[in-house]
Amino acid sequence: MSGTPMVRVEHLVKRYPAGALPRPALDDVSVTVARGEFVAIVGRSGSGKTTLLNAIGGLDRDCAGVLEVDGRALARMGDRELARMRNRGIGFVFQAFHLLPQLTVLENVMLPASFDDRGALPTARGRAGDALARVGLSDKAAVPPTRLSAGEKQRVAIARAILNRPALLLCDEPTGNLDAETGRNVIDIFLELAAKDGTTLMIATHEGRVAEAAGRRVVLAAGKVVEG
Amino acid sequence: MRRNVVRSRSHFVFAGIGLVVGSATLAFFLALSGGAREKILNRLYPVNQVEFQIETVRLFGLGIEVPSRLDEATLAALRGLPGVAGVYPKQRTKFPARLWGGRDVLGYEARLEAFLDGIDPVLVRDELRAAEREVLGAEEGRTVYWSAFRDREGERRIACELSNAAAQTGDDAVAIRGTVTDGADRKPCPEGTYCAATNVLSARGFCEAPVPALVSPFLLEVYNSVAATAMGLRKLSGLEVMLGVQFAVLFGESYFAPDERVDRRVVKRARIVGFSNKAMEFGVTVPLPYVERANLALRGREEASEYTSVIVETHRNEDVPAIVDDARVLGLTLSPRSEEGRKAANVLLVLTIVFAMVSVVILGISAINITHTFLMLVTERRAEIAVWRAVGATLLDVRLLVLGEALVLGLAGGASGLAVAYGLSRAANAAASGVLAHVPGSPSDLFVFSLPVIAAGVACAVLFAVVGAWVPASRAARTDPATVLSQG
Repeated sequence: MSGTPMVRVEHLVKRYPAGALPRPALDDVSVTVARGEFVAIVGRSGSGKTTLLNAIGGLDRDCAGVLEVDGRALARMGDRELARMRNRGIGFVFQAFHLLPQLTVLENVMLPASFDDRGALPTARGRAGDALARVGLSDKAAVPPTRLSAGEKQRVAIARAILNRPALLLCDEPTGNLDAETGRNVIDIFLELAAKDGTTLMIATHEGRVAEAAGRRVVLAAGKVVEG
Repeated sequence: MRRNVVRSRSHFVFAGIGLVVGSATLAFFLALSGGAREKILNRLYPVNQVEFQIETVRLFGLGIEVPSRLDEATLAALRGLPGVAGVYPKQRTKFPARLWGGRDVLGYEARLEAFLDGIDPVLVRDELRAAEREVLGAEEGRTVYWSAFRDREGERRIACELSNAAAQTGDDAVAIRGTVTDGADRKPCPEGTYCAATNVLSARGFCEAPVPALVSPFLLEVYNSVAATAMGLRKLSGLEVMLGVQFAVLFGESYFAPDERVDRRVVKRARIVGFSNKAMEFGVTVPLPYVERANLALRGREEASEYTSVIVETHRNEDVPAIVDDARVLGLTLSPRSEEGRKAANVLLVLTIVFAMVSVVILGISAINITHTFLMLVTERRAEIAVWRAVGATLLDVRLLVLGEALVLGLAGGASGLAVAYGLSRAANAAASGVLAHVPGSPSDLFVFSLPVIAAGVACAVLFAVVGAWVPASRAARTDPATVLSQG
């Protein structure tokens, strides 16, 4: 399996229902990402970056073309299998953080363990503590996310994404809501994850500083790959 | 889930009100129906016992051989019917009789026409014991009455004589014990017996225990509400005061009908040893052999071998309809009492169904309310559901999480409904106690909150909560995480 790319996308086409967009959101997109690679997906707003990440993460299944993650074709997976892959193999980080306000920081980080059918919940607290330590938020474990700054919220979201040590991290504009310095800190965390854990990183961004940190850029324009 | 329930508690309280009302209504009426059936109906008309009597309307031309008598042959035919567990004939005295006594309890000596019914003691043994225990408590250290309800004339016969024949109609307790004539030692009849002369003209006879007698609780109710009120007599406080009361019965003499020949008139002493709903309502019920012997002595063998009615006990309640049909072929019909029981049971069943339906309608409305509430909650929590999906929740997980909240709501609603129903039942008992205090043998608690009632109350609340949340749960599962999470 180590020889296979982490992500293989070939001739991917995504169309929204008639009228939503005048053209396909993704139009014959082909991208291959090797294991441990840090790839920035760049492009303007509406270029298809988020759609591509959602398709790779199995959140959006209504696509045509070849889509493989870790050597496995997503189209052939049932809901349970796909959910298991999202739970163990893929981590998501969103621009809007998407933390659950009724839970504490620690409970937010533990959330993936609630859906882990390996019975991972008993060990989740310790692992969540480790994940929070990696993003420098051990002291915030017991507070609700509403009391955190934007940068801290994003670091909690990263901790949640890495709880199960996924091989692939999909990040959609992770610094979009952060100031420059906080954004740099978040990028540093990603770089450290890639370096220490060998995590494959795909980050959708329109910010040059993020793209510069990545090892490779894939440029999308109007749903097509124009570079990379 | 707990956090979500707490977070949305105002929505849940609103949605749960219908469940509380519905399950409370259901539990209240099921418990009341169960109480009416178990504590009133089954005591008056046991469901696995039906009483038959000879059909009074003859059907001609159908080729059915209708027996003209309810005798041993008919009883044997009944015993042979499938589903029949026991056959208990009843016989009524077929001669005039009158009774007097009860001064100790009533404050005066009652004088009444006497009607005696004979029943098989086995039929009422358990019932008598339970009823006596209910009013007098545990048997240790007190007089036990119920066990005396049996035929005691077969016990050792000791010859005796009274001072004179007239003594047998008096109320001198010493005189009526007479003197034992067996042996040289002239003692009175043994304690608890009296000297029963062979007829009113004779002073000689045998020492006998008083005839054990049962009375109906209904008789006491009638006495208290009609006789005592109209005649300004002392009201009887409860059934227990009648236990042990002795009275005399004169077979062959009547206040209304012509008397028997004087040499056939006999005085018997009797003692009340219990009360039963199977006892004759306006009369006295004694073990069957006493009535058979009296009818034999005063009316002859033919009359003594014909029974007034027969109680048939079935193995299962479901056997009753078939046995009623089979008994009809034998020329038997349900007694008015059993017919009443069937009608009462049907009325109770219909009322139970009606109130259960009302409860179900309330629960149905609450389910619609739950659907609306949960649709709103699911819409509000689209982002949360999308996050669940992103971190590994399956469609089934999402559906179960929503239904799980409905389950918690249903359990809470059902439990609250049961508590409300129980509180209402206590209030209803308190309200009814003033009325029922005058009804002897009436239950102090009209309700039976049995396990099935509790289970039905909670299960219906849970069921309707889950049904109400089914569509919202499906909608939650259809939440498109890609769209929701991209919106930010």
